[in-house]
Amino acid sequence: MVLVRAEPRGRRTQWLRGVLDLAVLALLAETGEDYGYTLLQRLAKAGLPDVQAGTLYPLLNRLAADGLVRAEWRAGAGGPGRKFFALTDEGRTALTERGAEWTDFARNAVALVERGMRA
Amino acid sequence: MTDVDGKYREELILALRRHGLSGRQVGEVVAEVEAHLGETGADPVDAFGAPRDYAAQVAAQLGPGRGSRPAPADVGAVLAACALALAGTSLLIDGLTAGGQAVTVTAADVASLLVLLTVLTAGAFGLVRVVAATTSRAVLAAVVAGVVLAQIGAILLTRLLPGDDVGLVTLPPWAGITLGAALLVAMAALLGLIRRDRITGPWD
Repeated sequence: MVLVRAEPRGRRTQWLRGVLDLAVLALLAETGEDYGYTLLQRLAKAGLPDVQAGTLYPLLNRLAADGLVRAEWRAGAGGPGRKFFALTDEGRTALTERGAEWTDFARNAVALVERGMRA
Repeated sequence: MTDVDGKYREELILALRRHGLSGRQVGEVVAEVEAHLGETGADPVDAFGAPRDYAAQVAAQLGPGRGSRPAPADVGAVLAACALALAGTSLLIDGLTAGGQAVTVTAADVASLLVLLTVLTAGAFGLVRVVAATTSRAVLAAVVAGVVLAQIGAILLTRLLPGDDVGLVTLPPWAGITLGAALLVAMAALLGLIRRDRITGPWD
């Protein structure tokens, strides 16, 4: 009954754990590359507002360690440097394969919950 | 960075070191945090969580090979440094206080040094990890001086032990002084090697 009692934000955090890596790969696929701060903004704009910097950066570095993204530091114009992340070919393949699995899973979950809500 | 952020930075560095991250990895993580905070102006704890929690999360994402246990090479290096420091200091003291007499290394010397080595290594390991996490030469010098002074005190205490009469090796005073100094130089070189894993950022 943990899910039922969980606060809305805590529940969304649990959902995010299962899809955040795919969401980040998807955002990078859209633009080719990006850095942490704007990725957080884009995640929020996409309806995933609860991602913290402390969650995103370790995830980005794990994706880099797995070869799914490529990281590069660039000097900022008068400001702090920025670490840019770009999707690799391996990352694009992973997004295609795991993305299909996720969308099947999510579609089934949505259908089940909607049936229950209509019953 | 403000003072508060400086405190966060130091605590994060120590926490990351405790998880066995290399100087390069620590520098990378700290640079990410500083870049993010510099751009957003956010509070570090709000954005990244408490330093200890964030370090644990970073270590967990880096995989099972990056746990909280120190690498065997680190343990061996600290053990060797302590052994060199103890033997070198002991020989140097014996040579300087021999008053022209031969320096004799006894069985009690060896036994007490082994006991001291065990005790000091346990304490020194954590100390060296902390020192390696800093970038201050003054801190490093102060810690090394403190360790050497503590060892001198401990060695003098072992002189009070009974049964210090079974000679293993006899050296002229100058040989004891030279060998002791050489061992201490080797210890300093080894500490320098340990410290080479210093924190380096992406721009270094």
